[in-house]
Amino acid sequence: MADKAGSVSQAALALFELSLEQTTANRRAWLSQKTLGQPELAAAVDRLLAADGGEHSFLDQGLKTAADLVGQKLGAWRVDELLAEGGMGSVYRVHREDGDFQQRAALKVIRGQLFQAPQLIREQLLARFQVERQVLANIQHDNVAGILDGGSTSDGLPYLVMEFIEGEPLNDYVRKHRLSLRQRLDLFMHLLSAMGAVHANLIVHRDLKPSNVMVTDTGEVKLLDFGIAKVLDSDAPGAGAYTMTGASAMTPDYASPEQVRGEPVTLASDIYSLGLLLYQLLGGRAAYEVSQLTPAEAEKIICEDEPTLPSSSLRQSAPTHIKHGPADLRGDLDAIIMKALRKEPALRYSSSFEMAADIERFLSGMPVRARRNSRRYRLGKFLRRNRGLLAATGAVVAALGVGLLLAFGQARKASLAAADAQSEAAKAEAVSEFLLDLISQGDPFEAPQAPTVRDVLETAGEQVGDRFLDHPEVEAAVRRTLGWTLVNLGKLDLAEPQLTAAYEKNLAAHGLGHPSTIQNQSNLGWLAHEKDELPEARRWYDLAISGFGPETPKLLQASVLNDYGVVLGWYEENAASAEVLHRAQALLDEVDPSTPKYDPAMVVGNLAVTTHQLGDLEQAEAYYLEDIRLKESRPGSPDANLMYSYNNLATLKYERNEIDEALPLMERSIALRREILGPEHPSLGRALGNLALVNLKAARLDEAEAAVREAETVNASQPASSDTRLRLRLTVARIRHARGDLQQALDDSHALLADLAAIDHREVGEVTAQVHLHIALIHADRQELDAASSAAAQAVALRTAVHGEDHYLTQEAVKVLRKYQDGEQREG
Amino acid sequence: MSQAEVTNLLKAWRAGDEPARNALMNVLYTDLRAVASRALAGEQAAISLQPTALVNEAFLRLVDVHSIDWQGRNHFLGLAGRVMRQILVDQARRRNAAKRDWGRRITLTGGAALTQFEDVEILSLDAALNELSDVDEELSRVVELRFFAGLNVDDTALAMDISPATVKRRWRAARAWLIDRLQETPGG
Repeated sequence: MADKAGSVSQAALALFELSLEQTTANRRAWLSQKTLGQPELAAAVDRLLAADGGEHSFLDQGLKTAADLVGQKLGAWRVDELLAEGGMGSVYRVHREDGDFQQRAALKVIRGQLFQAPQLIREQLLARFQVERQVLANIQHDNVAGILDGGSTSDGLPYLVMEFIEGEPLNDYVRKHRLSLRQRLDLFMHLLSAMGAVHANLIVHRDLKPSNVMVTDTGEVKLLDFGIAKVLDSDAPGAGAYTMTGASAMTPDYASPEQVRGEPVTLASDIYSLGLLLYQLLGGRAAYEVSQLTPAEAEKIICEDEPTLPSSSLRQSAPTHIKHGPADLRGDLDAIIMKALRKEPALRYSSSFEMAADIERFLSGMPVRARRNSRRYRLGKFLRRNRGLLAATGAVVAALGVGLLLAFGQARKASLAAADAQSEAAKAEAVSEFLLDLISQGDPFEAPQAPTVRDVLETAGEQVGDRFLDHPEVEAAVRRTLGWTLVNLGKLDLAEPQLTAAYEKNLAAHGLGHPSTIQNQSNLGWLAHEKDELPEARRWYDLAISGFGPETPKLLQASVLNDYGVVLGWYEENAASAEVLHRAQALLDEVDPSTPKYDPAMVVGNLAVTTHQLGDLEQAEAYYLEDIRLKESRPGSPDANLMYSYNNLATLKYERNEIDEALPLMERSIALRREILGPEHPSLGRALGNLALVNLKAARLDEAEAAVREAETVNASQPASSDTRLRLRLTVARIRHARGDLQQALDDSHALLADLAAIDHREVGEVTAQVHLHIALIHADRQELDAASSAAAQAVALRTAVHGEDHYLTQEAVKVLRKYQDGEQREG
Repeated sequence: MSQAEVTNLLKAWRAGDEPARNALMNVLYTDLRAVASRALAGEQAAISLQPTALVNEAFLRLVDVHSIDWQGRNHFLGLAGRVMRQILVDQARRRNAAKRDWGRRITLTGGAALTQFEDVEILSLDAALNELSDVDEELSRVVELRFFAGLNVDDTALAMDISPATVKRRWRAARAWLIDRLQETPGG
């Protein structure tokens, strides 16, 4: 072989490739200009040009496709152009050359390359092609593109000639013509009729999607592409050959649960696809959009997630081409579509005729079957699958109910002066009807499909405006309660419009300084905090506080300040947080304990954390103890918040080196977590990690090790980069160190540092500082004071950046650093 | 290994699991080599051993095609193309050695061959491709996908995440470079 110097250079290759963008006529001139004065380059490019023009039987043989059929004559057909090329075959536009009339058609031919496959495959391919031919020959239906002819090319490649459809895919057609609901349903009924004919021949289409349903210019539906159809009748020729056709695998967007699971495909799979088509036709978007997901994710969604109701989907975003509204779909059409989309094939419509009959019933105003005979199923399914959802919906409705009744009470008090009994009765009725409607949405007997919490709340939000037109102050109260419930459920996008609308109404009805307005401002502040917008949150709370007056209820003032204090603490504004919380506590102390919603422990636990953060351990301890005393003295089951109180106090004791006191607190916190949260909750893992630390400090290494092991098991499902798991690794290194395995402890710590460097989030700075301090300690034990001080210096720098120079943790690191520096000087 | 297991490997690899890729390559190597050997042993004399067909056949045989989308198929075929290249090279090397020892020449195809792969051609193409990959790695990848995996222009574009027009241009450049390179190899 020639040596490497003999091959064409990279520069020449790149230039040649660029020249391919020039037209053939210009290419040589363009290249001469580019290689002017560079004879070697010019020569190299010339060689490539020569090679490009030449043939190479070996290199070219692998690439022959059927593309060269253009211009050829196959039977009576002249091939005009290539329309589409897929994995298994190509489709050409052809026209008939014999006879007097000009007939256009589509010709489908097996891809030449695949036909060079081994015997077995070739036979299957032929059988497959035979099936499609058979299928098309058997189905004579106006809405199915028919077969005109068939044969084989001179190379022996079989081909089919089919009706050439001039029109556009279903989705494009409805979009362009902005069809009415009735027109859409009519088109769909034609498709159902076509599918009826297909199914009557015991054929499953298996690839129903909008692009396979064409609508001609005259508005006629034409079903295409039986390329992966399956013949169910096992005596039919080609039955069973289907397994190999899937190289043109179906689009996951239109696949049924059984298809994505690779289970047997039946007529019911086509019903499901019809459901998806109707969903998109009426709801404006796909029931599932999974093509961007990995197959595993797509499978999970298709097999487990219930799609949003078509009416809800339309409500969320209505494409401009859709003229009907959510109300047109709600109820019957929702139910019809959802019945076709059941996960269990047996529960879908048993045939396209049955589906068509139900749509017919809808069109003639009769009750549809999809909503009948299925209560038992719905209830069973509801209880089986959505135990959590039922609880959640119930909780939402309950929370709203209580909130609304309170709101109504407030509104009533406000308007007592008017003393208009009739108006009061009207308001009461409006509120209770609204509540009833909401609750009935969660009732599986009334709703065609179990609504999601989101559905319930969305509907609630929509209906408010129409319900309370005459009672703006009631509307404000309802919206604020709804918005606040949504904030607490984490549905911030839905909460914001409600809280904002409520605020407008409150301002109009009551003005600034009114308790309703203040509460609303405080809610908006918390919403801003949830959205991580501190300045905005601050603005709302300042506004709320500026409205306080002698008339403002003390409990309201205390809770606004308490929320504000928590928000400030979250952003490490600890001094400001402490100041606000102290004011909150002072106000709370003035509240009459018999006031509804009074909670003596509301502020003190927060005050404890903020004081702890500020480094005043003594005061923090007093607050923690008070917080625990108040919470423990409550009657009934233990307050879940106690698990945090115990843990926080234990941490404080640990920081103060009071291990014997820290341990029992730790264990109480863990016991409570196990009881309330269960054995796999991440929060249990964190507490076990802390227990390991405390044991380590007490030199109880076996207990420390046991706690770490258990924490590792509990945390196994969390990502390796989670704060808890990173801290656990540091604990493991510390245990190794304590056991005397210095080198291993050092290696572990450095590995941990490397992983930490790749992460960026809130708490990683402090963990990293702790790793540096640990490394310093190991070096000190090995009498390597130089390395020890440089590690300690890193910890100081990090803690200064994270906590500030005066923070007690920073000071602690500074002390460590000084110790090693002094040691160095003594040695030096 | 069952179809479901291979399919799961393919899915896992696509989800970013690198060991799954290696496992998949092992499965493919064993499978494709067995088919190639059977053909050589004359068991199925009528079979024309065209690598792209073998690779496609492997996809249909090994993977549950109904649960894999187009992109997944192209990924699989791309990998199979790489494995196929290796198998062809290995076999050609072995046979070349045999030829030297026994003075016997065996062609890879039997019966009414649609394709005649000459061992020497395979080996020189492999060597040239290695050189091309030093000059421009993407060009050699285009050749692997189109020549060894049998992907068409659009599928190659999908598999490489570049436009079909670029695939066409890159293939043409690679082809010219390879032809030039192969022509200057004496005895090719």
